[in-house]
Amino acid sequence: MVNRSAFDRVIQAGGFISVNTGGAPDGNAVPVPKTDSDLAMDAAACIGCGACVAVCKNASAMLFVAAKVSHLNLLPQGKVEKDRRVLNMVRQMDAEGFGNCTVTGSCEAVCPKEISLSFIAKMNRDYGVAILKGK
Amino acid sequence: MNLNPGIPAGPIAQKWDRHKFDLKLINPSNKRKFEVLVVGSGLAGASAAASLAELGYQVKCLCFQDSPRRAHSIAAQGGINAAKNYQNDGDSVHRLFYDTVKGGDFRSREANVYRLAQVSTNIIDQCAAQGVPFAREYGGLLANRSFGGAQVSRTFYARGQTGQQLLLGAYQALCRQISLGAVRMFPRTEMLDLVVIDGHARGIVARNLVTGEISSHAGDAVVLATGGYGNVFFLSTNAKGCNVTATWRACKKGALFANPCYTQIHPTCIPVSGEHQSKLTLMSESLRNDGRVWVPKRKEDCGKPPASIPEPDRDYYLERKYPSYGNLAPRDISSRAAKQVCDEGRGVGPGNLGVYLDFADAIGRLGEEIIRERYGNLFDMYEKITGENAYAAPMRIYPAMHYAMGGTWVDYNLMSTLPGLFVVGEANFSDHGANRLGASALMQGLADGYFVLPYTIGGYFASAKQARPATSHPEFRKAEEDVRAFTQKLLSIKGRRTVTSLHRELGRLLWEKCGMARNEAGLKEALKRIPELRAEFWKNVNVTGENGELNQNLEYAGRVADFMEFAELLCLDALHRRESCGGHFREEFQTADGEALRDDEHFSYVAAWEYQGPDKPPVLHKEPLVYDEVHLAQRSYK
Repeated sequence: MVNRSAFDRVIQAGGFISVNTGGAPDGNAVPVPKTDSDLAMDAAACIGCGACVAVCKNASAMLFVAAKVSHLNLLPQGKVEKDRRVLNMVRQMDAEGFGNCTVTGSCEAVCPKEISLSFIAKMNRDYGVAILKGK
Repeated sequence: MNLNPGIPAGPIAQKWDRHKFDLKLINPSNKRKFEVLVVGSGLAGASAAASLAELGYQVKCLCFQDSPRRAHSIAAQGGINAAKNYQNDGDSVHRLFYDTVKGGDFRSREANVYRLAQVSTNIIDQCAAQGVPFAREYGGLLANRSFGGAQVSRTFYARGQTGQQLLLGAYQALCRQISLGAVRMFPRTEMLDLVVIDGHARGIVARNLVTGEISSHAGDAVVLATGGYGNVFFLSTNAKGCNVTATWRACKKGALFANPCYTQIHPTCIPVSGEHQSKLTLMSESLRNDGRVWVPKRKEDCGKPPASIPEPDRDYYLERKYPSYGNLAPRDISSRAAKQVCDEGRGVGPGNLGVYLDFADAIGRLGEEIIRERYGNLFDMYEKITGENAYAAPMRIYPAMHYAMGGTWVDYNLMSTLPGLFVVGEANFSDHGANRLGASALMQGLADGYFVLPYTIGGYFASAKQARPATSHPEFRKAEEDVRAFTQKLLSIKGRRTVTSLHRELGRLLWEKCGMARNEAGLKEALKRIPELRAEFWKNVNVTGENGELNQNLEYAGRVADFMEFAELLCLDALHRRESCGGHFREEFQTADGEALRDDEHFSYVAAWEYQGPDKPPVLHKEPLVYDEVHLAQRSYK
């Protein structure tokens, strides 16, 4: 039996869009380009199984975290909290003791949902931008 | 027993708005004084827990899975209905309401269904705002597809993973509240008893599945969001862990159980392949949008490769029997039609228990690429399980137990007959009548959790005004003792049969006698066999291990013990309902051409059963169903 509760805590750190029930605008009020929406869907397909961490020589959770950061940061709805999301989630990921990413790519190779390594690159970019903004 | 559904007065379109205004409110600064226990963290449970916490209530949420994201709502594939009319094809709240009542074979409560249709549009808005990646058109707006039982395209979807994406939306909202300290989450914790004090539900007793520790939790209200009882059939599309324990033990404490015989057999599952199979896999009903269902016209052709059977020798029986709905006939009708052709000996595959779902025409018309985009993950899944490439040869499908329309009886406020006990999602009985339409389960779970319960629970708090008991109250002590004794009893039998073998035997009995078609003789036989099997269970089951440790065998045994009791209620309900409606098909009651024959004069009611004790038959209470808006008619999809 695997204890995956660290993943839950990473999501709790920022893997959400802060909207309360009730106040949402019409579903079609914010158009989302299909290419962005499809890419967000590719990232959202992650099932949180942890195969990426298990196979990684560094025990890094970057693919899991990047999938959630990318899913939400790619959508206009998630852009508002883009910077603090990536900073908070990465901070929690580090606090949980996951290793760093050395772009080996084993995670992508074993991922049952075929989450792309390019999401890690995207997360690094989002992270860098957030740092530069001094958020 | 007063079975008052509490339906608000006034025209149907205004009932919910009026009721929301009439419900008493709780001052924001007082909300934090109330604690709610939410059991279950699927779509209904997670959305309820998150929404209640956002309002300011203290929430404890329990689930037996290792994380709330593992609830079985995740497995829903096809989509979620909403009366948005984005496609300009004539959809409306009233049409969704009508389709749902008709789809449920006129056995659901009108006012509840209307409310469901009304809030369906809010669900899509809410989920889009949460970042659920619904399918979109190139213009950036939301895409739709059609689903069984409807002639408009109102189903929103996220590839073949709509359930997963909606659950992640609710889970993320829940995570946000956990991080804010508003929800305390208890994963790997299973509710084993409900605590009732002075007639009100006041708490629960739960077992920590890792340490075996039994603990009490007191609350001002208890919300059960514990899903359906499909696994009573052993083989079903439900996750292995799904069970009836929470709602059944609540029933034993006084919460009436309604319409248990309304079970949905889903037409598009991967057929059973052998004796020792432990689980069935659903293929989304959305496949019927582009797939054509057929069997050979002649028995002799059944063993031949499908491609070698020429067009004139194929029987596209759904298109033949139901020309206007064709392959999109509702689930109960499609399932029975598949059973009929297989009973005639025209089934295909192992044991001749299967029918073809053929995509050749759609691939010819649209190209393989489009089909791959629409259903790629389903085709992959099919290939992983069967080893067959469905782009090249037709899929084989067969019906399987899928969803429970029955559940705990609740009133318009989603409160059971026990004040303070609310039941949401699949666990309650309220909205689907005798048959649920495709893409309506996600809709109902989220409607209850996001948009109904957060209003109605406040009305209860404002009017009940009872102090929350301490967990040192004698009722908690007693419930804890009962749970310990029950666990000890299971562990002490040390018989010769595994829990699985007894469960499989129960499931096979139910599938044969109380499955897709039922008759009086078979049901009576099942009612004779079930107590024998239950006695065998309590005499001869072997539960290995101890209580004070991680013991999945013990968890499973407790769930099967409840199925052993619940199965009897299911068959009893099926026997008493001397009519056919929706998923409940009694062979004695059918039209000349084999369709379900309802008896509105005698059976237009909700059957709610009151538990009387271990060896006494339950007492039936009836809630009459009144139809003001919808004209009762024989369901026709021809």
